[in-house]
Amino acid sequence: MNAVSVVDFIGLIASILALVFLIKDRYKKMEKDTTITLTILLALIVFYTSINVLDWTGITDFIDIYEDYVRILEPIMWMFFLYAFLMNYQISKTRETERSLRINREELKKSEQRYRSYMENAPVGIFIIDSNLHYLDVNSVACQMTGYSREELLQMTIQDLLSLEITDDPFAQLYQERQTGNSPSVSSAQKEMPIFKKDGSEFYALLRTVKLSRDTYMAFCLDITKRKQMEKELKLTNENLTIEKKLAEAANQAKSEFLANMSHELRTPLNGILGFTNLLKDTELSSEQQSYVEDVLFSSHNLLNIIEDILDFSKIEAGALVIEHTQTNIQTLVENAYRMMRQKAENKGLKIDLFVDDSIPTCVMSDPYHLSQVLVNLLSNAVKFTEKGSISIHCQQIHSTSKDMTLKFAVSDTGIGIKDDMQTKIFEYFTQADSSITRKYGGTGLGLTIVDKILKMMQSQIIVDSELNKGSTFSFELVVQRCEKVNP
Amino acid sequence: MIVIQESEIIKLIFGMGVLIYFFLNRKRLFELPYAKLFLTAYLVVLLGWILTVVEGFVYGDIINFFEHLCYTVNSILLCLWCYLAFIKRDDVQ
Repeated sequence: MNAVSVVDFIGLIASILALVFLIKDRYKKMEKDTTITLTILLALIVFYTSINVLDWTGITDFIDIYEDYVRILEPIMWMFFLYAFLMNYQISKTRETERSLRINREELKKSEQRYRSYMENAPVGIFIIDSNLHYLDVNSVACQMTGYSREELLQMTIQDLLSLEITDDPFAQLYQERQTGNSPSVSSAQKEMPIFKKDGSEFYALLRTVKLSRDTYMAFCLDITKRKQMEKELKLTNENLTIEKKLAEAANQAKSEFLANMSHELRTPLNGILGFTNLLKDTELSSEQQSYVEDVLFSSHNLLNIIEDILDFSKIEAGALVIEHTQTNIQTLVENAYRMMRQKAENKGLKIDLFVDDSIPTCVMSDPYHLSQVLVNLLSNAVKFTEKGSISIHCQQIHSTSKDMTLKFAVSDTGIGIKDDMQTKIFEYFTQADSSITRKYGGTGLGLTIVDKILKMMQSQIIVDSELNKGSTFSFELVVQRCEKVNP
Repeated sequence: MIVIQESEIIKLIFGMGVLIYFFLNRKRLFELPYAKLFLTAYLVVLLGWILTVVEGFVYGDIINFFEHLCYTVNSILLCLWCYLAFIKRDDVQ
């Protein structure tokens, strides 16, 4: 045994092992004929190596005669193995391709079914178009909208449906790109436009186009004819309303100006009447004449009050009334209003009380003229509509900070009261609780309207608490700024 | 003394033919699992066949040893290839 025999022995073991690995696989990992050729090749190698190993023993001498020719089989088996592998590789590739194609066909079919389902179940018209502006596909809603059948639409271009007057249709850029030869770049666009139906009529559509691929577009079409009509009607109504509003404002302005002018013109001679009637009253008159003069004075004062109310109302309506905040002594202001109405109240046999919170500073920032007007108006109403009992005026501080405070004013009476359903109406123009009141007590029905308007301009709100035949309380809260001191 | 056997020349010619065949179909044959290992095994055995012819001209004993060594290496590489391709690998074709 020499070194060559040892090397051959190792080769024999390795080749037997290779054969064992191959047989163990049992044709699982390669095609059968490929594995058979490989098995024969390995068997040949085992055979040759065995002969090499046994050569030194002399046992294989009888084989030597044929051995050289048999060894020629080895490269042939290599070739067979490679050939068998290539053939099977080709076959398996073909099978794989066929399987892949079959799967793709099935997927394509499912995809087509899904696509058709989406198209047909979509609530809007869908048009698929190519870069030559021909319809590639449409759904049934699109057919219903246009009145054409699917086959007819597929023979048409999008221009056949669009109004000729339309220049900025959603495909305009597409036309341009087609003409210039550039590839379309529009990803999506939305336009509203009229579209022709088969019967020649047209409907208004909202078209949204989406680029699907380089030369395919999808357009979603929604019939918005009704919406367009409503918009048109709404626009017309708005225009009419605007015109009517302007006319009404102009008429109101003219009325206010007229009232202001007339009030002014009426007040001037009325002041003359009042002045001369007062002078006449001081002259020697018979008792009957004295009575007539007092009636004239009473009526003139009433007329003056009415004119003053109309003038104030006209100012408010014309926007001429301005709230001016100045230093105000609230206590003095309330007392003045109280004094002004006390005589009237006492003349009717009414008791009138005044309650003013001592903690209210002597100086706050407010509009004394208009605040006084509000209080006098409320007190005047209280005296006017109270036959017996009492009237009271309250003023108290309910909240205070370092910068401002909230004052609550209330005028209460034990008068005729107001029905619940009339408690909001009394603040409307020329409105009193009922016509019998107007006949009995007189007045224009503007007093509380003016009070309400003035308080709103002073960022306040009048509140009524009243019970019929038991009395009423009118109150409001007013936020006023603190000041250092009161100007005399 | 030059000893050349006819069968060795034929085997070498066939072997070169296989190599050419492999080269021509290399793209698809490289789909074989561990194709480089398989090709190496073949090149080694081809070298053994070349040495069989050469040993008839010079250094008969030494070249003979290397010839047998090539066969053994070929067997070992094929054994390794079979292990990798059939035992270890999950799927070939």
